[in-house]
Amino acid sequence: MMQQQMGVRGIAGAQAPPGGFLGSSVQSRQVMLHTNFKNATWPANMLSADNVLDYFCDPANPFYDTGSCNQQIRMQNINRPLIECLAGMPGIQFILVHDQPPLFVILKQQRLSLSQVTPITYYYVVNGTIYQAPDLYSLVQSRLLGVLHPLKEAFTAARECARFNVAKGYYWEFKKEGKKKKTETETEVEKKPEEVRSSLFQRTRVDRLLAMLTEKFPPPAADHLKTDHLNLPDDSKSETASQLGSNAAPPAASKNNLKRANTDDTQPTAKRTKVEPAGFL
Amino acid sequence: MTSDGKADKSKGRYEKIKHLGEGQFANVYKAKDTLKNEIVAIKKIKIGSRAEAKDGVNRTALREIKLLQELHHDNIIGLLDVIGHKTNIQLVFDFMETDLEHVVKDDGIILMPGHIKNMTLQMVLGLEYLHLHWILHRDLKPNNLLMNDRGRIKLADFGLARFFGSPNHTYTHQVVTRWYRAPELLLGARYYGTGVDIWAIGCIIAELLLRVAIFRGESDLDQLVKICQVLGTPTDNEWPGMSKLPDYVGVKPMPGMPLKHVFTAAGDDLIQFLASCLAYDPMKRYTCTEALKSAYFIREPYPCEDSELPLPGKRTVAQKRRRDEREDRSPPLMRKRLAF
Repeated sequence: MMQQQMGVRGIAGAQAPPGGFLGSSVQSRQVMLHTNFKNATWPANMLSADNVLDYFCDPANPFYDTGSCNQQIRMQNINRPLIECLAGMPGIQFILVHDQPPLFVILKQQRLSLSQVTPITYYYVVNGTIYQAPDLYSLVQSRLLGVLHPLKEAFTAARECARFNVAKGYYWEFKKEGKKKKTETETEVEKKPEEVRSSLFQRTRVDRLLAMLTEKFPPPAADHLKTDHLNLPDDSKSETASQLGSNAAPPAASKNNLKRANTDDTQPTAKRTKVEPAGFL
Repeated sequence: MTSDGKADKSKGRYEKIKHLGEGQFANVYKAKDTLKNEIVAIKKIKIGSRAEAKDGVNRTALREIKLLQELHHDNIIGLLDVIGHKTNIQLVFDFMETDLEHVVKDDGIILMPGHIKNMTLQMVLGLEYLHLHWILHRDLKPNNLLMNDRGRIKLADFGLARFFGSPNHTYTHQVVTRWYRAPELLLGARYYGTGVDIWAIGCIIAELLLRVAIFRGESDLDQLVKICQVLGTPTDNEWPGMSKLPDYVGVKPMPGMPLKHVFTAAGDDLIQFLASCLAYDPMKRYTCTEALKSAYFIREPYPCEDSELPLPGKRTVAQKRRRDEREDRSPPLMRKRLAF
């Protein structure tokens, strides 16, 4: 699958970080959304709020910018609190804005002065894998595509069954041997990934359980994260949880699923949306 | 030796404010020029040993006076006056706030790429002027690069400087503080040129980037090893004629490391600039004029304003002004609005 290939490329960390970060074209933005990075020498469970930025500030990380203030500080071996140093440095910087292991949210920002900061991109680290959070445009585009594709399929399928006769007017004719066979094979193809993912029932049920749980144990900083942002991390959390619930597997075993769920999420591919339009809507 | 009021005696023009420091050859005082109402630095040359003073005057002082009287450039320390009194010589210089060694060692300062480019530019401009007038500085180090409160950097301490270019002169290789000494000097070259200053400039830029001297040798031999550890052992191909130098010693072959891994946050043009300053073969090293034409000075980020350069233990002039402005009206807290 496409996303898996991308993942491998990210793990290898072979590609250089892209040059221009501000004048990035749509194409390069798309590429970054499809990339991820993982440094295999760092055990994922070692990551904490204190060291996740060190993990992120890896010259091999395609999301990282070696011209950033963070790297300036690292090169100059400045022994002062990072935030304090960054406050006085105009330029591109990376800061940790949210941590709730195994999820960390890192913000790439441009500082213009002591008080003026413009956020550029959010990144999230889940289980040691770094992804770029999609922008609103990409997200909406992906969701819209997810809606339109099955709709179009449905319309073409329906149109083929519509008949017109002067005597009867319009009518439907569904029984057609050849047609049926074709749809059968199609559903077979589609069923396979569906087994891996959860059913609608499971998802809705888990959602309810989750809602109850979050009511009982409100996450410390999740509320402001939810309100303000389209942010994927939140999205991915519920996705993670639903995966967890649906497979009824211990957390350790579900790590893989979790990773996959996230890669899937950042993919605005037609393939995925075709699988389960209901989930997207 | 009378230590007090010597300036007053000679002319009554300068008033001592305080003692700034003591070097090998001189004491330096901060003083006020009552005539022009300016702050100046006065360097009082020590008499020195009998051998040093056998010409009547200390030789380093003589060198400094001889050269500096003819040198007038924004990036070279200005010799304002010379006072001779009995056996004393006192040199009156522009007063400089600090030197680059203090800047490098101040943990409160983070040097931005624009700062480093500005500093490099000022250094190279001053050095180009020297070299175009056939003078070698021969003792460039952060300690000898002075900076005033307006962020102007000036080359100072011409105690080892001399004319170069006459082919029948041999020069001593025991020049330049060890950490900034070029490999040909370490190998005992008696004929050398502008390359020794350029090498020192390369070391100084590296020090600005890393905030610690890049080649910290504990002896002359160790110095050579430290250089090879970073840059790799030079081959005959890389530096023809290396093995013919008087004190040539073979260093065991080492691969060195890519400069990109040493200066992790430096751009490619800066890496290239450094590589050209730190080339083993002095003939392949940059000249100042070439250095000024390099891509490093052409591309962004552009050098910052002099006033934006950080001073140790202080905010820059510009920063202070900006802070004052902010305190007037409440800051537009964009960050707060956008944060979650």
